Amino acid sequence: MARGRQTLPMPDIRRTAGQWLEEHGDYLYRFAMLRVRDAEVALDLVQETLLAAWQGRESFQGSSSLRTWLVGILKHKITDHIRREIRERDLEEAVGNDPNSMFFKADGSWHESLHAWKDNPESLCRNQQFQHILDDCIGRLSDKQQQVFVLREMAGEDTEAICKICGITPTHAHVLLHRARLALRKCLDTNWFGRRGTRS
Amino acid sequence: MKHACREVSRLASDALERELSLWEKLRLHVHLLLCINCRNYRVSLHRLHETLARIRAAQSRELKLTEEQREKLLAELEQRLGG
Repeated sequence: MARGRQTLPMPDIRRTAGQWLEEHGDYLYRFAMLRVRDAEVALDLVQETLLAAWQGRESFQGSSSLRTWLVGILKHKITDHIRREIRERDLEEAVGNDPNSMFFKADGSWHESLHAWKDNPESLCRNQQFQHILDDCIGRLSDKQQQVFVLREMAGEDTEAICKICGITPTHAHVLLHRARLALRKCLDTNWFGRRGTRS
Repeated sequence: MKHACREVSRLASDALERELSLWEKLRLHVHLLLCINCRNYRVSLHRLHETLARIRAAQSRELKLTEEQREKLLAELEQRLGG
């Protein structure tokens, strides 16, 4: 039996991996895309996952569903990828460089008066132009803010998962989210809400 | 209250992440009664949060591999596994 496995002919690899891809490919791709927001990277991660799944197929017990097992592998691949990004690009934010000073006066009040946004989420989420500007604004966040914000708001992960993936403390995650939101509100206000005469 | 808006903006963000303590809630809501800027800020955060949740839901329905991506993936897998 074991011998048979070792000499599996090529068509079986293609058939099995093809079947996994058929049944779970979209789900895995989406799961990766929501977290890394880059089609090339997401595809690579799915490929790595299928490769690891094929090589470790004997360890799949069938006690969980195949999809759960594949997603478990993919989660590890995503975590490795994000940690490597953090390491390589040295995404640590300088502590002294507190972006809060951009938004608040020395006495802690807002630098500028903030007006209410009138557009509602139902229309905004269908507006391609808004999504384009939103993407652009997210892209302008510092790397680490972006990483944490995407996991939280694009992928819908909670604090615990974010800390596990990025290897940071909950307080650090919350500081980064807070800073990201300050910067995003400002960017969207300037580039979307402000220019369309929605000031009240 | 010194540094009020700076602190309250942090609490408004944290409220989306964790259960605030009773004291924090009190501080947040008393300040919101008094400060239009922070009220507007909080509304913005909630709108942004909800908009992103809707975008996420839409992407969860719509994001799919193209045939081309699928074929490329399979071909590369085959090459790596068979080589």
